[in-house]
Amino acid sequence: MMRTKLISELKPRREITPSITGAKMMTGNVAAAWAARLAEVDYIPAYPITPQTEIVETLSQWIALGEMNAKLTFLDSEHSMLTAAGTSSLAGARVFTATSSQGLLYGFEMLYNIAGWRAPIVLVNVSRAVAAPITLEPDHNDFLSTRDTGFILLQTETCQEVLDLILLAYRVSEDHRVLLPSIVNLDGFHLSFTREPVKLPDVEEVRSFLARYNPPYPFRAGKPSAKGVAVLRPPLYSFYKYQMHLSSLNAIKVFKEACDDFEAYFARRYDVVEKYMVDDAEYVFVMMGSFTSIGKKAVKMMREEGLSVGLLKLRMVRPFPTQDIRRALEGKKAVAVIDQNISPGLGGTLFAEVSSTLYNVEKKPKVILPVIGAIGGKTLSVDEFRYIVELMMKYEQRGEPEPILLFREDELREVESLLKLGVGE
Amino acid sequence: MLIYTRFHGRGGQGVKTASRILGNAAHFEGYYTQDFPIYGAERRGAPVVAFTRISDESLPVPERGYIFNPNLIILADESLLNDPIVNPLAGLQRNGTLFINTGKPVDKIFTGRDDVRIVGEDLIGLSLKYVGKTILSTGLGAVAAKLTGLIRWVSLEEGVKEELLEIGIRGEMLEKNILLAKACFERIYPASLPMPKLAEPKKIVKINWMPPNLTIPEIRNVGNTRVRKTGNWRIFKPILNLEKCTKCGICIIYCPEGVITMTSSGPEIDYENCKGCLICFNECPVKAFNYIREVEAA
Repeated sequence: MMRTKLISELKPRREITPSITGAKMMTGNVAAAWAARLAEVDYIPAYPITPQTEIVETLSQWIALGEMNAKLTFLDSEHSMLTAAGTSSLAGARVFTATSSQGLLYGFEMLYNIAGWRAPIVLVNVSRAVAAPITLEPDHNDFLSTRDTGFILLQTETCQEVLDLILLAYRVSEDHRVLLPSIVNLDGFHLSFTREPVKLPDVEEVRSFLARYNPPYPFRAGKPSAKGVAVLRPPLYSFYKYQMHLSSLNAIKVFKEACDDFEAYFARRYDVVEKYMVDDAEYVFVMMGSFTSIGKKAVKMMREEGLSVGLLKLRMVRPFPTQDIRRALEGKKAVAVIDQNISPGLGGTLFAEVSSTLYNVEKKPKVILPVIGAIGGKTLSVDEFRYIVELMMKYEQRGEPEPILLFREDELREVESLLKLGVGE
Repeated sequence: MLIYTRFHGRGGQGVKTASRILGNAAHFEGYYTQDFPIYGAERRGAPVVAFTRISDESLPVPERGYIFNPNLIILADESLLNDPIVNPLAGLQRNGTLFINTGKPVDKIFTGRDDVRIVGEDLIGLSLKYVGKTILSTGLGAVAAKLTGLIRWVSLEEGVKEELLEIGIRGEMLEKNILLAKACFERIYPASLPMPKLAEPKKIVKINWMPPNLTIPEIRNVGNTRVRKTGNWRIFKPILNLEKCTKCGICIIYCPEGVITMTSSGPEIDYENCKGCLICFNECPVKAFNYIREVEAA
């Protein structure tokens, strides 16, 4: 008779698991604060919002205790906070700030300005779905709303990645081939309040990896300059905007160089995308953010059952890593793009972007499946990934798939009972 | 993954801290560990859930999200057992362990589960004895650590210290908490926990367009708290002495929840929804209200 293996039968532990040697348990928020501290930022304009607040609280505490030397100011709104961030960056300061969801949208106008000023701040966004209806739980609509602002956009899966990508973001943003601000995104709750082992890099090594910011033309007393000027001759606007686009494209090369350097210093390897069992896979999921962990687990389980599946994680969203995505996905039987966002009337944002990237590829996948799931904090389980594989196999034969919402029968039953309660019909 | 722990309690009971104490202890023991809480808009007394995942894989695939299939459940507050929305025992695996913080013998508590091991301990009593205060987090974390069967006292002691120092508890209070943790750790006996299994697969369904009477996010149904009795996390229960009451109606006007109504015999309190704020007690001009302790585990 088969017996369940019992935990007590496992050998007692004698040595530490290598992956956690020297690591400290910390939340994604605290990891973000550590990154700002290790980057030795000069200025932190702040405004609280759940689930981001722990970041500025932590920084504020360190500054109050004298453990960190930076100026932190609480502003009256996210709009003022971002204005302060951009302008102080133009004066030559290294600036860190953080917000979330409604706060990001409240300051939205300034995002275009900061990018247009070519002020290389790093802004952490802790993803939270946008009202209405209001929630505290995450999806990527807030983050993706910034895709046309000119910011470099980076997505994280683990608390370690939060810390590391913020350091990489400063390297890339402040590089004179780029000079554009960055947003590093982490999912609310699933990273912001989740503790995992995080290895803290040595401050001297960070200093060496990330040199002081060298602003090209900072504001200086006695040397007046005008920034963010009016361009009343229309060709000027096109020219400046296109230069922003070209500078953004440079960020792919600069990021890859920085990743090589990062690995030499800290022994962790990053790239603009991450391929998880993709190379020999026939069916590939494309997604980003913390729920990639759930996707990887599903891939691992399905692989053990002999299914040829893989997962492509997008780490960089702007600039869009077109070549890396093409090379990873060409020749695949089918690809499913899992969007944790919804553009009502279209479907998912990433689907449109990944599809257009693949359209002109000679050996493009036979089908690209648009899937919308895990918005507003709704979770994903292995069941959903199995269902997506079934659909990929079905549509690979023929068909023009419409956006598919991942919704489980038990979730629908819960919604029905709550609707009954709320509207009494 | 080896251990999927789910903690249930109420805001203010230290459930998040307990999940972090267990997380620290498992981390110090050398396991790959993850802990996190889930709560809505922060509010004392509202149901809170926290999780600790413990793995012995050297290069683990991290997992995320709500734990639906725990093999260990730590219940800080017995009154949550019957909350249909919290449903604290949902998904607890066969032969898994349920810990209940209770002053009663566990065989006197109806859980509806005879396929799991149930362990009880009066953590309030122990906390009063060792700390002189009702602190649940340390006891819950210590009990959970012992029930995993993986954690030695040295790792738990470090785990308690690190977490309590981080939230500003030091000196004599820290020492007392460590004594409490030790007492809890020694009183509990671990049993084998089953290896975690996946939950039954669920069907994916199609969502169709529905008319606006159902699909605009609004609540039009008065008394929509039929399922969640918002009074169930009350700590103090106001009691009206009708003999003293002059039926002036001031309590009805001041009650922020609107749960006091005038009847022919005088004001009547809807205890299913009264949150125990005691504004009625404070405002009554003839001091006709009194109050008693409600949730023992608070």
